[in-house]
Amino acid sequence: MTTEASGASRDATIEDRRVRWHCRRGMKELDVLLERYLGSRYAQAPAVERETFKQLLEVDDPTLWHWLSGAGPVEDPRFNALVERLRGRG
Amino acid sequence: MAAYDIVDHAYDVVVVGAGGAGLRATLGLAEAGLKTASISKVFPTRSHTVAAQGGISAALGNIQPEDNWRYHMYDTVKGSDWLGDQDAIQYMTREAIPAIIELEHYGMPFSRTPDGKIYQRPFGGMSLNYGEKQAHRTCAAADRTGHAMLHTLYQQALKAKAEFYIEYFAIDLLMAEDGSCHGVLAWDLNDGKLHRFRAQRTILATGGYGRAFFSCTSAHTCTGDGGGMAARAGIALQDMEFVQFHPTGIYGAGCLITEGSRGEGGYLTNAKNERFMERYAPHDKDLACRDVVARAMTVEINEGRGVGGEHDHIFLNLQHLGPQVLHERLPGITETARIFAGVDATKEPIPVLPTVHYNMGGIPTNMHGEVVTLKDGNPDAVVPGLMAVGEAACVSVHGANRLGSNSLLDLVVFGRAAALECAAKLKIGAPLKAIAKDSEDRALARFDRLRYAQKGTLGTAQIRVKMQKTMQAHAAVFRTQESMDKGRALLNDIIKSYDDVQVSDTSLVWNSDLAETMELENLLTNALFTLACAQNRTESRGAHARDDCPDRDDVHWMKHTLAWRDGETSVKIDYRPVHTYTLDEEAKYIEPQVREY
Repeated sequence: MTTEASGASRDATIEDRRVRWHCRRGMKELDVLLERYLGSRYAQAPAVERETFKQLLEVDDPTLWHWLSGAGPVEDPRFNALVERLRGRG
Repeated sequence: MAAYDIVDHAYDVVVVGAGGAGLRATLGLAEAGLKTASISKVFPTRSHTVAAQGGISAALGNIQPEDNWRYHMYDTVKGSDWLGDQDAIQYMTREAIPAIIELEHYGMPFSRTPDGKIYQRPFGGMSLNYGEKQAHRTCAAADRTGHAMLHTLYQQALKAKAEFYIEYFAIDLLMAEDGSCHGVLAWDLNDGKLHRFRAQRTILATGGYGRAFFSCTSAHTCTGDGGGMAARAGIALQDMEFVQFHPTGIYGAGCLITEGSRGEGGYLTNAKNERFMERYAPHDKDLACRDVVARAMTVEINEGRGVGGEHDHIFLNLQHLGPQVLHERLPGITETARIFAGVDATKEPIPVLPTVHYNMGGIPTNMHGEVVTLKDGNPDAVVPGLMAVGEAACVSVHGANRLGSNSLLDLVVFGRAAALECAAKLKIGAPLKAIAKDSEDRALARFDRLRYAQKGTLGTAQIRVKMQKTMQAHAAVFRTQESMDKGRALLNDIIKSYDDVQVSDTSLVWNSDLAETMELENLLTNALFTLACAQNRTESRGAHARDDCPDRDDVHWMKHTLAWRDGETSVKIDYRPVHTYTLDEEAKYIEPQVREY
């Protein structure tokens, strides 16, 4: 059991390390906002929110910036609350 | 040293970097039947090319039938302050037209005119009839030109059977005894394995090094890895003193506040709440041109009148305009200021700083993308096996200053040219040469040392910010011998302190800290070259503006700087002549003039 638990926690660590690299984007604005969230919130966020964040990282850069800059509505309801939080309004 | 099992690969060509330039090269290579590998530390559509929203220039004449690539050539030469090589500029502006048509055929979703042609918008510095009036020459795909380009090229390259190695970090070039290049050593960030890519040609398309400065618009991934690798392999970099700045990036974040904000009545103040631009430009004040404003801001900061706890930035005031004007004429600015500076721009000033936007210098190449150097008196000696394209390279088409919408053009034209060159010269499947053992051993030893650097006392981020602040204060827009010499002494100490860097753990799986530490080494190299070359050039030209040498000096300085690293903190400098001739009789050489707008 102990081995399994430590195996699972190792996987979780690796997953968090992968998430950190995937916060690297093509646009400075996104680097700043995603790293800000990663540094201040991600580790303490509920599992559901962390999962949503991982999904958000799959969105392409221009769309993500469109949402985060408030230029247009978030077309995907999954991300509404998280986008507001990343924008400092959540 | 730990033992490393290295996975072996053999290709005709390996391309490092999958932004616009790397992808365009990869696509052309794969279409020519060459076995091609593309290595990228980030997913291709997350390369920094994605941030290029403005567009791509080409004299298609869709809006103004009288447009001509010779006008585009003139604008580019003038923009370069005559440091650009006119044969390469002729090639770029003439080939722009077929290169854009090809992009269109590949499926790039350009914005259209009502009659279905590619729409072209006006852009600063682009003119008709040699400066007579504004040209509409810039093609765009709505406000996501860079992304559309990356997406189109990536899909086409996959279709052409290029092989992608995504989230692989290039460690070092693999060289032979004779100084030729035969591939690259890379690290798979996902599973931690090392990979040896051997190839007939290696193409560096790794982008710029904006992150060497405290304030830059470039993404975090722009760390000058190609320049770092080339310098470690003993290759010279060119014109590294030329760095383009934008006056108003948000302090700390680097995100831009449009220049339109000053056009609408915004003004700058220092710690004494003084509108200091009145002293520097009594007539134009805050509307003076970009470089004048950026230099004035830096002088204010250097003389101790900066705002904030560290007196290291300036305030941009928009609050007097009122919420309604701000909302109507400058949409998005209040939101950008709120998100990135945490200020309400309708009530308080926005903290700003001159911000790095583009690196004109890089790895010197000819117009076919082959890396060149000065060898035995020949300034165009080719470095066998090695090529470079895009912002990592210095062709040189931008010379001392790049024009807006010419960077995407550079990527496409020279990415394509590099592929054409390989298709013409290489034999598919030709046998590969042996890599010098000591070249690979050095690369592995460096990697291994950093991986096990747990005993160091300085964090990567700590060293990086010291370098960035030093470059910002001493190698930005205000340059004098005294200030740069002072900066160089500081930078030398920072470079030496890298010996004491600490990496948090030895894991090879998604070890961002190790990757960032290797990036920092590349940044430090680029920073050293930038400062050393700027100290050396005793004139003002384009983006290199010195208060102690305010004039352009064509007699002594109409030449490219070449710089080699010849010690931990020492740089050897020599020169290559600027090409004062064109490619052929289709264009005449443009004689140097005073650059006025």
